[in-house]
Amino acid sequence: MHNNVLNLEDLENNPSSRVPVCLVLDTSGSMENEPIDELNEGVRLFYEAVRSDETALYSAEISIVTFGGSAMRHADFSTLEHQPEAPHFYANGGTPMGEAMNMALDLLEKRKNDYKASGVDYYQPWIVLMTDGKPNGDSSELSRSIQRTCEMINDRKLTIFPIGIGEGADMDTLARFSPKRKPLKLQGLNFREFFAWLSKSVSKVSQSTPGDKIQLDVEGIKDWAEL
Amino acid sequence: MKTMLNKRTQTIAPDQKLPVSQVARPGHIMHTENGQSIVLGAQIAGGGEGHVFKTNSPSYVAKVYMPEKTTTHKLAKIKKLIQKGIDFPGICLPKALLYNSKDEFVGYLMKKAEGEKVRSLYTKPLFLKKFPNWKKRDLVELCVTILKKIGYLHKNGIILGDINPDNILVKTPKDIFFVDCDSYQVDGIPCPVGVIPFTPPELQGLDHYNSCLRTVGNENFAVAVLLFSLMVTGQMPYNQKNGATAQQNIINMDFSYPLGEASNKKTPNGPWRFLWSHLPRFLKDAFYNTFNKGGKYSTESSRLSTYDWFKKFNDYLTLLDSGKFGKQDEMSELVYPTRFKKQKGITYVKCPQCREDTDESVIGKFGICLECLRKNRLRHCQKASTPRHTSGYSGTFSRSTSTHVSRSSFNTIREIINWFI
Repeated sequence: MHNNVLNLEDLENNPSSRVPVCLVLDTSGSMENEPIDELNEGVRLFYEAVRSDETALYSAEISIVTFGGSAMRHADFSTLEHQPEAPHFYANGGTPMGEAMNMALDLLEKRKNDYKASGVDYYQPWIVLMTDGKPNGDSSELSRSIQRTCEMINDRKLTIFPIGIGEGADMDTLARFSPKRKPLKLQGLNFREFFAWLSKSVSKVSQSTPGDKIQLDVEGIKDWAEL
Repeated sequence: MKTMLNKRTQTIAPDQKLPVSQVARPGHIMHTENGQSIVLGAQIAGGGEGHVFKTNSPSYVAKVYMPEKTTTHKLAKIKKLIQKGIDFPGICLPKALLYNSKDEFVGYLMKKAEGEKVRSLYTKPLFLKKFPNWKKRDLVELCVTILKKIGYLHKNGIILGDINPDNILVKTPKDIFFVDCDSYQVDGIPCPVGVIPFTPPELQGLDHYNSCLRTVGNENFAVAVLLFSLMVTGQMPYNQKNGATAQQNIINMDFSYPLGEASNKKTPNGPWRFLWSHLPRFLKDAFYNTFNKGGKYSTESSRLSTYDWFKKFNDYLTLLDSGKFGKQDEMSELVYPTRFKKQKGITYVKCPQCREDTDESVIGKFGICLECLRKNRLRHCQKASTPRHTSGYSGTFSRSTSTHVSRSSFNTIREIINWFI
């Protein structure tokens, strides 16, 4: 919230095209111990990798929303120049996935309005949705978030990477969020490999120009996904 | 638009894949057409189409395409570029074709390039880190150097096609390198790539960049955009406050920087208006008339050529180096001015908040300069409108480490405003 002023001024002083990336992460009780530790480490390394890429540092805007008990906003869209430290997550509670996705979509809408108002160009936003279970929040929130997401994807206004963690991940729900891309299952707890691939993909996008077709590293997906 | 395209499109034979049976790696031995051996060293760059390797010859590097991207068009174009026999320091044109141990065409040899991408000049912290001693005259000299190289290529019947901030590397204002030269348009073979901000209005909306041959007139738009982005350092001419997308603004030719009184009032907030104001009038005139609908230089056939721009930038460089421009306002010699250029006949006083020299008549009315007024309003509005909890969610917000303007400093400014009104 205190970041709002800084984030608007940032758009004035740094008009580089932005790559908005929102991580929507399951931090429910079942993620306790090893899974949440690996997730924390993966996100930390992701921040490190983006910070060390001089183009991505000034263009990637990372936002983080978690769902564990309640939907929580850990980071608003901001470049890592102004928000350099990765947040730390704790596992607890149920799985309000719909609420979290709605929060992410709201944050994204607001940031897009900021971009338009300031005249800053931006790439098609990415949402990374990771879960190890089934959503058990409000069902109308869930349907609303699925509807909004699919509409944006079909309108070519959003890309989503839906990823299931472990045996209990509900791949069907993930598929409902992603009409164009089949959800993938994470290999074991290979969060680090996933976030390394993500940071490379973000770097690639920030080296291009908005409107370009980006070729994602399909080969690299084998490092972290069960195929 | 369609008829224009038909006029320009020639029948080009379709591109076909060439056989390449192995992926090139460091240590592999390639050879040129006349049998010279080239050993690939470490990989120094990789893109969508291929990789650049060091070679056993320290001043030359090899660009090797990925097997699936090695095609007849590429071979034909590189042959033509080599045949042209042109040479200019800093333009990394193909010098020799490269074949692998199976005698398959894989890429080409070129002179090594060095320096930082022009793109790093666009981000202030990177600019200050990499070129801490540069003044405005260095940026102007950089433009002169770029224009000389582009002019040379145009004179030799080559159109770059993909002028953009990642294709030009800068060591010093006089020492720069053009890379990715294998995509240049030559002798009827089109340039297959481009980026939206550098594409002129008449070519926006093409299905593929290689569907038509570009003219020098088309290219002169890209040249103007590049020059603008170096003068209003880091900005693009068609980014606008509350405007449509940059692409739409290009198509509508809705330029957002003023010439005299003429303005669409959509200049982006931030230091950009200051940078624009410190440019000499003749340069503002040239940019305004290039980027605005109906301007003297706004169409494919009327655009300023690289030579026209070269003359203007040379004059600008002379103005700066002679000290004449700085006499009017010393801030015009800096890369990042922090206030508007001073005009004759106006009395200037220091704004009590930012301490910059401001038109006295404006300070009298509001107590502080307009820029400070705007920033204060922005901060005040942001603080007032941000809720502590997002409704509908039971979450809390994590601690933030950012700083913000405190209430007490705002009260002081209010007092100052009251004093002057």
